[in-house]
Amino acid sequence: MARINKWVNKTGTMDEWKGLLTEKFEGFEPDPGKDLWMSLEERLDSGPKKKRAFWLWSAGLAVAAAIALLLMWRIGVPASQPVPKERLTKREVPAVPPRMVNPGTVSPTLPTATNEAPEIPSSTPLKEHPSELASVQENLAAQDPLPGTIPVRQMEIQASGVEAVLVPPAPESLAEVSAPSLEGTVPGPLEAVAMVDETREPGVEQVFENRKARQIRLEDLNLEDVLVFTAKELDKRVSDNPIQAKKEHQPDQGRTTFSLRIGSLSIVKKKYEKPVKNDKT
Amino acid sequence: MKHEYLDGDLVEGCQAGNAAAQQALYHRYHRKMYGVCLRYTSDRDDAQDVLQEGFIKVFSKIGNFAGRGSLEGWIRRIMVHQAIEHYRKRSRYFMVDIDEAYDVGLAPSTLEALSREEILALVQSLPPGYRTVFNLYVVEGYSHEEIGELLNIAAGTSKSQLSRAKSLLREMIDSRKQREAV
Repeated sequence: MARINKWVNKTGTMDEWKGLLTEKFEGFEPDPGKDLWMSLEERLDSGPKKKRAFWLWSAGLAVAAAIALLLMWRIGVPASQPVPKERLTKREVPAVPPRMVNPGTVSPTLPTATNEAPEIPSSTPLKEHPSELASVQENLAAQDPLPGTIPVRQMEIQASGVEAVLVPPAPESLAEVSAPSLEGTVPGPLEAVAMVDETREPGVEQVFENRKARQIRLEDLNLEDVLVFTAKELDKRVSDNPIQAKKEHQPDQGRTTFSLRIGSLSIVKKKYEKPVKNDKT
Repeated sequence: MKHEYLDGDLVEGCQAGNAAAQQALYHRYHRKMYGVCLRYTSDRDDAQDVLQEGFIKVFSKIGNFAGRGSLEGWIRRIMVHQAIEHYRKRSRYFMVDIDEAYDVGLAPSTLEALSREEILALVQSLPPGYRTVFNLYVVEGYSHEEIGELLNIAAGTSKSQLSRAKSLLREMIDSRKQREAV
C-alpha cells in the first residue's frame, strides 16, 4: 500500500487521473457505422435457427446410431430366434478396460475385455483380487502425465528479492506458433517463454528466427523446471554449465537476458534494469 | 414524435426476445460503448469486433440483469470483459514477470494539453497488456488486486504493467514534442 501511495503522490492522484480522462472522454460517442447493427441483427436472427438445426442434426444422428447399434447387436443371431437369456446376462457384466489390465498378471479365471463375456459375477469387487487391483493402480499411475507436479498457478516464487510471477497461459497457448509471429503478438516486453524446440539440433545455439516452436503449459512443468525462473538459480546454472545456460548483459537495451536449455525446453528471461533518471533539467 | 422507451421497458422487451427492443437498446448505447471499446483496442476494426461480441453477450445474458445498478454500467462491464477476452484470445504466450515497477513520473498534467483524439491514439498504440491495465486502473478505477483477478495475473504484474504503460506514454509524448520542436 505504501508503494502505491508513493507512486500516486509522485504522479498525480487517482482522482486527478480519472478526472482528467473522464473530462477528456466526456461525450465521446463515435459512430461505429450502420453495418455493425445489420451484421449483429443477422447473427441474432441466425442464433435460434442454428440451434434448431443443431438439435435436428443431433436427433437424426442419435436415431441413426441407435439403429446401427441394434443391427450390430443382432448380427449372428437369426431374426426368428430370440436372444438367449444366458448371453444377455454375460454382456451385462462390466469388463475391466484393457488399458487398466496388465496382461502378464491376468489370471485365467479373471475377465478380459474381449467379445467373450467374462465368467465372474458382476458383484465381485475388484478389491478382492489384490493382484488385479495393484495392476490397475499401477496403470493409472503410469497415465498421470507428471505425478507429483505442483500446479504452477498456485506458486509464487521469491528469490533474492526478485519476484517471479507465473501466469497461467490461455488455452490457445498450446497452439503451434513460430517465433517471429510470437514476437509480433506480444503485448509488452517478452519476459519469458518456455518452448519445446522441434527443429534445433542439440548443442546449437538458440536462434529466434525461422524456428518453429511449440508453446507448452507452464503447469505441465515440474518444480525443478519452474525454479530456474528465479534469477539466483539461473545465475547458478550459468556458472555451473555455460553450454546449457547463457547470461548476456545488454546495456543498450537496459536488460540482462538469461537463456537456458533443459532437455528440449528453452527458457528465455529478460531482466530489466532500473532506468537512470536524467531528466532533472 | 419519437417515443423514448425507459431502460426497464427495453430490458423487459429484450428478455422477451423482442427484436425492436434489441434494436432500440443497441441504438441507445452503441456509440458510448464503442468509445469504451476503442480505448481497449488498437484500432477501429478490433473495437467493432469487441462491440459486436459484447452486444451478443448483452442480449444473451439480459435475463441475468437484476436491475440493481444502471443498465449502462452493466453493459459497460460486459464490454470491458469482452475486451479483456479479446486480448486474452490473442495472447498466445505466457509471461513470467520478474520486473519491479519503476516510477517514471508521468503526471496527469502531461496529458492535459493533448486533445481527446491524441490521447486515444496514444492509448491505442500501447501494447494490449499495458493498455488493458491502464484503462482498468486509471479509468475504471479497479485496484491492482481486482485487475489481477480479472486478468489472472498477480497484483505485482498489474503494477508493473501500469508503470510501463506510463513510461511508454511519456516516451511517446516526449518524442512527439521533439518532432514538433524540429
